Amino acid sequence: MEAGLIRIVAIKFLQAVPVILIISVLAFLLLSLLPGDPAVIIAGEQASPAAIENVRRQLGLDRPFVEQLAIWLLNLARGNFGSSLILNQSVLSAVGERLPVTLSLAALSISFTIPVGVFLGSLAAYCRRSWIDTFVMTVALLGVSIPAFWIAILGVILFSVQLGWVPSSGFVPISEGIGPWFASIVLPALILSLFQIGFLARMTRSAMLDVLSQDYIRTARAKGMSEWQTVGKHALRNALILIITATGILLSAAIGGSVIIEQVFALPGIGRMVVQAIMARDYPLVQGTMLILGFTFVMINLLVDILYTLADPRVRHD
Amino acid sequence: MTDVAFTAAAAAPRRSGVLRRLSRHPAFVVGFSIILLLALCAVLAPLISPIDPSAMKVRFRFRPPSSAFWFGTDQFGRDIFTRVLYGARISLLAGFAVCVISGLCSAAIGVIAAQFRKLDGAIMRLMDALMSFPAILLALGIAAALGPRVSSVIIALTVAYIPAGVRIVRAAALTVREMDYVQAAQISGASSLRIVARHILPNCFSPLLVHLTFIFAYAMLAEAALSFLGVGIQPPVASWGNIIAEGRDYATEAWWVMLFPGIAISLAALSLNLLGDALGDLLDPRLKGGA
Repeated sequence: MEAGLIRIVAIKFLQAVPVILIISVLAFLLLSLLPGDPAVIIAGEQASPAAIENVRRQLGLDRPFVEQLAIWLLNLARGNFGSSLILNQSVLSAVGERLPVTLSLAALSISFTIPVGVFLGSLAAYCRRSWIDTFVMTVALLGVSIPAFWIAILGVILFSVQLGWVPSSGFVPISEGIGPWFASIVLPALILSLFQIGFLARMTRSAMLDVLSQDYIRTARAKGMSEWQTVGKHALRNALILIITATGILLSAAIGGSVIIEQVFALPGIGRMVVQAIMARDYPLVQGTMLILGFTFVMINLLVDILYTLADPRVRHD
Repeated sequence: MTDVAFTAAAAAPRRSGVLRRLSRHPAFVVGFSIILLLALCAVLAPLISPIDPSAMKVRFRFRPPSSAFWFGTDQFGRDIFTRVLYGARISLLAGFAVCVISGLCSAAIGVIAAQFRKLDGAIMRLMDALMSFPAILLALGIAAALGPRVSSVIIALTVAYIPAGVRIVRAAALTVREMDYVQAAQISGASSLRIVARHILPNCFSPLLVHLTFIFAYAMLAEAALSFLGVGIQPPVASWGNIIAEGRDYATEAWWVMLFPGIAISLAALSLNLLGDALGDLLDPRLKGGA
C-alpha cells in the first residue's frame, strides 16, 4: 500500500474514535431526556415505592450523574451494553438473536436494489430526454415518494390475502430451507427496495450525466473507441465508486426502513424489537440497541471510506 | 460564480429571471400546483367539508366511497374525505415546521462550523454521531421519550434532519470563504459578521433550499411512519399516518379507509420531490444543463 493510502485510512480511523465516544454519550443521555423520573417511568405509574427504588438502584440512577456516565462507558468498554427489563436477556444477546432476520431483509433488498437501481439510472442518463428517461425517472420519483408502510399493507392484501403467493407475516430461518426463507422475506425486501431503487436510480443518473459530459468521454469517442468501450469502460469505473458510496447510504436506509417493514410483516427482527421496547418503556433495551446500530454505521462508513479510497485514486492525492 | 459580486446591483432582474424559468419548468409547475392545492385543502378544510372530522355515526360504519361519502367511512362511521382534509393540516404543518426549524438550525450551525475553524472538528463529529443512527430510529426514540404530541414529532424529526443540512451549509460556506471577492472584502476591513451576512449566507441559500424541499417530503413521510407506529400524532386527531394505522386492521374489508390518506401522502411527497428537482436544476450551477 502507498503511504498516502495508509495515511487516509489512519485519519479515518482516528476520526471514528470521537464519533463512537459521542454516540455512547448520546445514547446515555436518551434516558435523561425522559420528562420526570426515569425510575418511575420505567417501573410504571402504579409501581410500589419499593419497586421504583429497586429500578433506581438497578440502573444506578441513585448515583451522581458523572459517576453514572463513567459506569456506562466502562461497561461499554467491557462489551456490556446493558440488559433488557422485559426480555430477561442482555441487549447484546437480544440483538444477536434477531440479527439474522434484519440482516436477511437488508441483504436481500440491497441485492435487488443495486443492479436494478444502477441499470435504471444509467439507462435514463444514456437515453437522456427521451421517453425512456422520463418514464424511468417518474418510476424512481414514485419510489421515493410513496410511504413504504402503506404500499406494504397494499402488498399484503394483494399478494398474500388475494393471490396467496407468499405468507403475510412471520420469518422462516434460512436453516429450514432456502425456499421457505425466501418466501417469508421476498415481499418485505421488495417493498423495502422500492425507495432505495428510486434513490439509487436518481443518484446514478445524475452521476452518469456528469461522467458522460466529461472531456475524456469526448476524447474516447473522438479517437474512435466503440460506444460500448467508452460507456462501459469509463462509466463502469465511476459506477463502482458510486455503488460503494451508495451502499453505505442504502444499508442505513434499509435498516431504518426495516423498523417499519418488520412491524407491518410481523418479522421478529431488530426493528420490531426496538418498537416493542419503546412501547414497553424498556429504555435500557432501546438505549443498547441504538448504540449497537450506531456503532455498526460508524463501521460501515469507515469501510465505505476505505473502499472508496481504494477504488478512486484521485482521493488519495488530495 | 464570478458574477456573484454584482448580485446586489443585478438582484432584481436576476431574481425575476429565476422565477420566469421556474414558471416554465414543467416539474416545478406540476409540483407547485399540487402542493398549493393540498395546502389550500388543509386551510379551507371546514369550508370544503362541513362535517366534524371526529363525528362518529355508527349507522354509517364502513360505507364504501359514494356520492355521499367520497372516500367512504371508517369503523366509527367517520367521513374519510373530511379526515384526510383535516389530516393534511397536521401532516403539512409538521413537515413544514421540521423543514423551517431544521433549516434555520442547520444554517446557524453550518456557518459557525465553517467560520470558527476551532469548533469545526467538534461540531462535525457530533453531526457524524447523530447521523450514525438511522433518522427514523433517532426520531422514534426522541418522540417516544418526549411523549406522543405534535411538538415531540417536530422536535424529533428536526434533530434527525439537522446533521445533513449542516453538512450542506458548511460545505457551501467553506467554498465561498475561499472566493477571491470574500478574501478581498476581508482585506478591505469588512467585519466577519458582515461577510457572513452579505456573502456567505446568501451563497448557502440555494443548496439549502433545494435540500429543505426534500426534507419537507422526508419529514412528512417520517411523520406518517411515526404516527403509524403509534408514537406520533394520536387519534382521534387525524393525521394521514394514523388514519392508515387505524384503517390497517380493516384493510381487507374496508380498503378505502387506508387507501386515500396513502394517496394523499404520496401526492404531497411527489410534488415536493418534483419541486426539489426543479429548484436543484435551476439554482445549482453545477447541475446546469444536467437534466
